[in-house]
Amino acid sequence: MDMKNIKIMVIDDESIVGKRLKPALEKTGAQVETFEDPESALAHFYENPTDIVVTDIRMDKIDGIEILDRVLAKSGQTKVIIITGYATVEIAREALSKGAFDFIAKPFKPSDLRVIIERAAQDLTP
Amino acid sequence: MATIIGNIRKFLLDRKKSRDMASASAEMSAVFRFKYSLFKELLTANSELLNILADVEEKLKGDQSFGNVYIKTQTNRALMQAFQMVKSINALSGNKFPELYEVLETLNGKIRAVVDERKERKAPSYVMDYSEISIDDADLVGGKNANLGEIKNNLHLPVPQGFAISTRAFEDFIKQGHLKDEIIKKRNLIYVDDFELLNRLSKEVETLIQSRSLPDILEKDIMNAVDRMWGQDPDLRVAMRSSAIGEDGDISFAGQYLTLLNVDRDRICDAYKSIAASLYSARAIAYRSSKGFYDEDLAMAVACIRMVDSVASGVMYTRHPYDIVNENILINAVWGLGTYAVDGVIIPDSYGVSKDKALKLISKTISTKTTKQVCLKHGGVCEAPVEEEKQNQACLTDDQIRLLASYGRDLENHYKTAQDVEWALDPDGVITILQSRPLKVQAPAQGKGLKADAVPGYHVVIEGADVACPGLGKGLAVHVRSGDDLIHFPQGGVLIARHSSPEFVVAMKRCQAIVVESGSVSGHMAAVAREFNVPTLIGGKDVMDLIPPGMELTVDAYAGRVYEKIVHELVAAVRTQEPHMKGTPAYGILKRAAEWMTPLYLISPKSARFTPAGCRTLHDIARFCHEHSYGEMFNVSDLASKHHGWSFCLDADLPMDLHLIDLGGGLKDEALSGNHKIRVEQILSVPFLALLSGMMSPEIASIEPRPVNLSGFFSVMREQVLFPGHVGERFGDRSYAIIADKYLNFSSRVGYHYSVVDAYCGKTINKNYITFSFKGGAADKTRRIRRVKAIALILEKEGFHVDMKADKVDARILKYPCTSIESRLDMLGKLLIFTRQMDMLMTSDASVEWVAENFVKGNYRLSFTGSGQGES
Repeated sequence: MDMKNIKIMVIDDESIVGKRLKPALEKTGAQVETFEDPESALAHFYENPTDIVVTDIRMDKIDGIEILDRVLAKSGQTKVIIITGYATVEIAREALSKGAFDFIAKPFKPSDLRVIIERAAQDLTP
Repeated sequence: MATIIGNIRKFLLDRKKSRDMASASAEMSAVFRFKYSLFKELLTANSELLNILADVEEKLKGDQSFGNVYIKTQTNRALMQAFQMVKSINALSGNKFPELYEVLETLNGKIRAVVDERKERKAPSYVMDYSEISIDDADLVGGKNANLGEIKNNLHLPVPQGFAISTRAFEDFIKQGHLKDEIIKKRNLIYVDDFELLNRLSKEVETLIQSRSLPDILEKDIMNAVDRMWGQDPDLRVAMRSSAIGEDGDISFAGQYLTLLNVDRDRICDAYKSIAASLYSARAIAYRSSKGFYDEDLAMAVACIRMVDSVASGVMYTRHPYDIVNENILINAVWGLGTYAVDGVIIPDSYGVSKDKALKLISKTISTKTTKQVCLKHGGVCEAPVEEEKQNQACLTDDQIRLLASYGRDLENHYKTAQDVEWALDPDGVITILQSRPLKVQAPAQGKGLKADAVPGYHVVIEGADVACPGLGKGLAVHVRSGDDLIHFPQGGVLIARHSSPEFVVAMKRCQAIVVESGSVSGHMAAVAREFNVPTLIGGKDVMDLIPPGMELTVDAYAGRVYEKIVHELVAAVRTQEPHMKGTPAYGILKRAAEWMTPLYLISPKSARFTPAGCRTLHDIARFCHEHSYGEMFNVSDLASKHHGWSFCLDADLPMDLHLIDLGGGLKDEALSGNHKIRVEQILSVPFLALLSGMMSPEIASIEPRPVNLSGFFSVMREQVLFPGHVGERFGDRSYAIIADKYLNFSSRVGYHYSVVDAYCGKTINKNYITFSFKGGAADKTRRIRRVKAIALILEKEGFHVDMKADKVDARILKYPCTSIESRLDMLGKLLIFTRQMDMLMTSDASVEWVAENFVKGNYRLSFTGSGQGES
């Protein structure tokens, strides 16, 4: 799928993450929206589902796995990429078996995330 | 796991319908980039995992200290890298190996169960006197403190007066200030390649730590310890040294954290905070991030030691680091504080002492020492001139040298391994041990200017080889060229081969040493060699020529040298001792966890057990995924030939139409924006350029297939008449080069031959490889087989591992430096063109060898006159 038509939602309760990832991910050509509050992110998603959701796993209000569940329940097509802090096989396995497209461990380079985003875009059914 | 990345082929077919060429083209490039990005991820994870396994094996030798943090961190990292590989190979292959996830989960469970057995210990208090510390307390007070306690209490040697501030103090300080979450959060924002951000966040964390006050009890405990030890002495000065968990191990490097010298009483608590904060210096964070360590597991302990304005200081090695016949204790010394002896700012005195009962002073070299480092009265240090009469005077008297040497001997006996010791002489004439750690056996190149002379009276066959596994081996040379040679490998032989291969494991129990021409000191074979403790050298080209089969050898895999005959002096010098970590609880845990990590059971890809279920360790998983990733990349050209019409065309003088697909960095930007014709100068891909240089080389370009032998020509003609469809198909196919800066997948149907070259060629030796496959042809079966035999011979002569089945030959070469990969690709380029005339030359079995020999010699213009004779 043409990257220009791809919509990405980034959810992280740390504002600087969104600020830094937005321009980095826009380099792919995709449209990027960022949210600090997971609840309003989900509310927005229900109205306007995106093709890709990038979410932190550890947030105060709603954790990333719940975001994953709710996003996929609403839109099975959406590719969810989980950002993890302390990555373990258990966490990675849980994320993938619950339907996450992929995961990335912090700290990571924006270019590493870009590669995963591009792969996710490839895997979207047109 | 079906959700993670679907099947590419299906994806392609689904979308091929009703798409115009332009978008099909963009999509195809994207698909190749997709595969290539997964492949690169897999290679990186493989490389990382092998490095971790090598480090674990190094620790299991037992002479380096480590604790729980090391075990926890390294096992988790190894598991995550293996997970990454499993994920990548499944994504790459369209989920061909989902069972690997189950296998990995089982291993995860087994490894975790072992690691979690050991309860985390907490230090009994914030401050611990050296009298209550031993080597087992590394997790509580850091390695440096644990060693000083051990030396004081169990060896009764003089160490500086002082105490340790434990990791518990650090943890409570961080906890009370609610710093942990903030620190982790900040650290997680750091992208390692963004130095501006890294520096800013590192400063923020350091400032954050320093801005918090210490818990009252901690501050009181520290000051009480100071009073208890030194009373109210107003002139008291201390050295505050970091003693981090895992320091000098893989988690940090020596000298990474802060040491503050000459700290006065009032500044002790501030100094403590500065040292704690240095855990988050920009370079420490960058280092840990690049290694994949988590800050969550880190803690800093600090050594608080009375500062003595040392008269002299220096370093002592209790033996030569790699000259194994040199058992003498080596001491160097400078005036003043020891920093200059370590940094190499000035040339120190050097003394050699025999390590026997007599402790005889064997050598004494006195240098001219014009400057020294001294303590300032009010804190800090500075450089000062050395009094003229002392400049050419030895820093230690002969008696002092021998006393210090006796400490070295005791330390080595206690730790059961050679030691690297820092020492100081105080104004009262007392020599104290500041630090002692295992002496690293290092390659001569890094040997700090020390030389290991060859043992006189013997012929040195190989000099300056890289050490993949240190040790000493002796025996008769046995050349290994095939799997058969390994199966029949004799007991006690020295394995000599062109290239390292994990398949050598078959012979490792029987083999005394291994010497190969090329390979990587951190590759699969080196890891296996360390596991079996087989001394292994990577000796450079000509090893097989210099060492004929049956030659009696001594392999000195300390100094990187191979001698002809048995060198009795070296054999006598090797003694077996049980290093000190063996027998500790931490060692036992790592050893058992490693059983699920390091051994390699999947040896041959041809074995029936080379399956996901056959993977018994993380090393097996790595091997399995790595092996299959080549297959997956090898096949990308199948996709290319099915979906042409969207690639670039190479404008070059080649006997084929060659189409290019750039995955990134393979072509100059200008080439991408221009028309679809690409010139050679616009190519950046290193492996592709190498292959092209061979294909286009003038001496090969001038040859054309020429039927000089009538029966040869007729045979080719007959085949074409008999199988016209086959011919049409072959000619209809195109040749493709799918390229990136370091990658090449070339597939071609030149004439009637099908050939594929898949190669990676970058800085990391472990990632480099070439796989080459050649099949088919227009001639009759006998000729085809002869030709394949000739190609196999040529490739073997060039160091490839070759597998031949009927008229197909598969060859592979792995883990060579970039330049060697390039020269092999150049050769393959020539071979690809050369094969065009081969059919015609294959008139008899004798022609096979003759053609191969001539090709290797560079004689490409051949005409064969039959019965084994030829002219060139």
